[in-house]
Amino acid sequence: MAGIPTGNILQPGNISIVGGVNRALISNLQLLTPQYYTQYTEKYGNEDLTWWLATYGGMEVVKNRDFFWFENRGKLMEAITIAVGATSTSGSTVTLTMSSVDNFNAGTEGPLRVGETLYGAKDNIGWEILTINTSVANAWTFTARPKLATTTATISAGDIMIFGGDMDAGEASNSIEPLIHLDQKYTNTITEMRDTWSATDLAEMTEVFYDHGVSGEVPAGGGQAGVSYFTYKGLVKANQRYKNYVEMKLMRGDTVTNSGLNSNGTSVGTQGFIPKLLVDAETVGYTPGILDIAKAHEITRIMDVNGCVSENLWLQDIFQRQNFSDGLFKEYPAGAWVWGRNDNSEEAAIAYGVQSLMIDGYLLKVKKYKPFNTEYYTGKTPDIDFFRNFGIICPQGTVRDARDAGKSYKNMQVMVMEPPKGGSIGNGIRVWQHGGGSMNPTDGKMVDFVEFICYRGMRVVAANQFVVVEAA
Amino acid sequence: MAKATSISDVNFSQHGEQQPPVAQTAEPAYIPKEPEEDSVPEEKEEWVIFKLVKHKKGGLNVDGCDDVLVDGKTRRIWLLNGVESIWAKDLGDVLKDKDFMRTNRRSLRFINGVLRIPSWDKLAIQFARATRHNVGVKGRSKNRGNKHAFYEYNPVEMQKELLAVKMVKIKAITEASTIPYEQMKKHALFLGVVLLDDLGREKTEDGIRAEYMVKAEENPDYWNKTKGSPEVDRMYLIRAAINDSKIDMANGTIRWSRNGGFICSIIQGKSPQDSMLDLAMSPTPEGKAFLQQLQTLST
Repeated sequence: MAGIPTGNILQPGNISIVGGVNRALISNLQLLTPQYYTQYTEKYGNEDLTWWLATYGGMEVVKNRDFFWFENRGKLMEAITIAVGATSTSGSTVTLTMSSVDNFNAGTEGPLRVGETLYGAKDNIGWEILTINTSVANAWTFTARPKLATTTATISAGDIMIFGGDMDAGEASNSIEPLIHLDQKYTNTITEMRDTWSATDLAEMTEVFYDHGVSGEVPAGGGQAGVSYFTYKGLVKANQRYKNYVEMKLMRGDTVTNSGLNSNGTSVGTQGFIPKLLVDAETVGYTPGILDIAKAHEITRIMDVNGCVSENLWLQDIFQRQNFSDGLFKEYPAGAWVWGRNDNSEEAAIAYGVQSLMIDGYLLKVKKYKPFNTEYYTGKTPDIDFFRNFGIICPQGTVRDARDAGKSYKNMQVMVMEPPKGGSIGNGIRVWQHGGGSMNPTDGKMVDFVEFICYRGMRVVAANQFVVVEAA
Repeated sequence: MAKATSISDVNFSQHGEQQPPVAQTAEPAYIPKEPEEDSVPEEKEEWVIFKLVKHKKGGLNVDGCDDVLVDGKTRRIWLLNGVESIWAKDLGDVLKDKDFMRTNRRSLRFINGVLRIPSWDKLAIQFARATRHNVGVKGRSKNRGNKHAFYEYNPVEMQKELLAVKMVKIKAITEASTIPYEQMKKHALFLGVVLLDDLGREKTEDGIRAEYMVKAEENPDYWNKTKGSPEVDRMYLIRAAINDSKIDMANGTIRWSRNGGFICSIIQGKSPQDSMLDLAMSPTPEGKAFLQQLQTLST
C-alpha cells in the first residue's frame, strides 16, 4: 500500500543550532566558522582570501561607516636628500639645498636643525649644519661645514645625508630644536554589498525533470517557498555568486566618487586590498618565466628594509605560481617553523592550501590565488589581464597603533558593520525574504524574493611591508 | 672672575701655565697629477632622471630583463653588473653562467616615482632608454598593459611644451576679446554661454564677452576648432527657429510647426538641437533641404 504523499512538505523542517534556538537560516555563509570551514570549501572552493581571513582571523566590528587608524609617518632615524650640492675645500662652509621630498605641510616644514651632525651616506664624511634658510617653500637651503678642517669633499645633488644628532655640542652648549615625531592618519570605509534572488510562484511550483543540480550541503532551513529544484539551484548559485562579489569588492574594488551613479552619491565604496597596495606598497617587477633566486633575494632585501615580519602569505596568479615552482620551490625547503594562532596557525595554513618555504629568514606561504585570472572566474580570456603574472606578499604580523600604544592592528583585517535587525543575521550577513510568493508574505504580488546584504571593508596597516610582485 | 667656570679654568688649576701649542701645518690632502691629454677624462657626476607616468608612494623595482622590438624583431636585453652590453646577442656565454646571472642581475629602482642614474652608469642608462617600459620614446605605445611606464625627464622639452600650451590659451583669450560682436554671439551660444542673466534679461556685449573669454580659457583647443566653423552658424539658425516657434519637438520627432512636416527623429542619447545639427551638416538631399529652409526662415 502506498504511503501518504509528503512531497509538499519541505525538508528539513528544523535544524538544531548551538543554544537550541530554531532559526530559519538561509545562507551557509552565515554559519561560517573555523570548525565548518572544510564544508565551506567543499561547497565553494578554497580560493577566497577575505573569507578565509574573516574565518580564521575574525572580523573587527566598527560602529561607523568610516574607520581610521594611525601609523608612523616614516622611520625613526632621519635622512635627507640633497637637491643642489656644493664643494667644500679645506673645511670651508658650503650652501646646500634640501630636496622638496623632505619637506611637508605645503613645503613649510622640514627636519633640519642648526647644530645637527650629518654623515654622507656615500663617504661617511661628517658635517655640521650652521644655518638654515626656510624662506622658500620646498626649497630650503642650509649651510654646513665639515667636522674635519682638512676635508675637501663634494656633496652632489641626489646624495643622502644621514642625521647624526646634536653631537660635539661644545662646552656650555645650548638646547637644540627637537625633532618632532610625525604620525599619519589613515582612513577607509565599509561599503554596502548586496544581492537579490527572486522567482515567481509558477517558477517555484513547476516540477522539472531533475532532482538535484547543486553540490555541497543543503542550505540550512531551505530558502524558497516552492518545490522546484531549478529555482532552488538558482538560489544556491546566487548565494555562491554573492560570496564571490564580496571577495571581489574587498580585494580589487575601490572607493566611489562619481555622484552620477545610480547610488546617487550615497555610497562612498571602500578602498580594496589591491588598490591600497598598488599605491602604498613596494613593487618588484619581473620578467615572466624568470622568477629566480636573484629576484627572491631582491624581494627579501626590500622586506628587510621595511621591517616585514617573518611569516608572510604570497598570493600568486596561475602563471606566477608556475614560474615560482620552476624557479624557486625546489631550492628552498620549508624547514622547521613555530606556528602561531588563528590565521597564523598551521591549521589555517593547511585549510587555505598553502605550500611553505623559508628564504633569508622569511617563511613564505605560497598560495595560488586563482581569482586573479579572469579565465578562472568567467571562462573568458582577455587579451590583457591586469592580474596576470601578478602576486602579493602579505605579512601576517601586527603593528602597534601610533596614537595608542595599547592597541595593535593586524596587517590585514576584514572590517564589518553589523546590519540592522530583521531576517536572519550571521557573520554580519543579513538575509531576509519578502514578496507575496515567499515564506514571509509581505504583499500581493506572487514573487519570492531572497535578499542578501552585508557591510564590509578592509583595513591594511603598514602597507609598506607588503610587496607586489608583477610583470608589466 | 665674572664668567662661568670653564674646563680651561679647571685645567689651569690642575696643570698650571700651558705652553701654547705649536701651530702645525695641516698635511694637505693628496692631490693627484693632472691627467694627460689623451687619458680618460674625469667623470662628471651628472644624473639622468626618469619619472613614472603614474606616481606611486611605494618604491618600484623595474626588472633588469626585457624583450624589445628592434627593426621588427624581438630582442632580449639584460641589465647586469660586470658586462659591456645590454643586448643578449652580445653577452654570449655569460647568459649560460647561471651563478653569474644569479649574482649580477640588477633592477632599476624608482623611489617616490623618480629614478636617478649617474651619468657614468652607461649600461643602466642604455637599458632605461631601450626598455619598452620607457613610453617617452617616439612611436612606443603608451598604455598597452604597461604598469611600470616611465619617461625620461627632459626639463627643456617639458618646459617648451608647457609654454606652447600656455601660449595657445593666451592667444585664444586675446582673440576672444576682439572678435566682432555678431560672430562672437553665435560662437558663444554654440559653446553653451547663456545669453540671459539671472533675472531673465539679455546680457550686454561685455557680459557675453566675459563668459566667452572664459570658454576660450577653459578649452582653447575646442574654441579654436569651432571658431568660424559652419556648425556654429547652423546651430544659430536652428536655435533661432526654435525660439521663433517654427519647430516643434514631441514624441521623439521634430517637425515644422506650420504644417507638421517631418524634419527628423531625435537621435537616442542626443539633444533635439544636436540631432537637427547632424541633419543640417549632412550632405544628403534631406540635410540640404533642411538647411535651405532654415536660411529662408532667418531672412
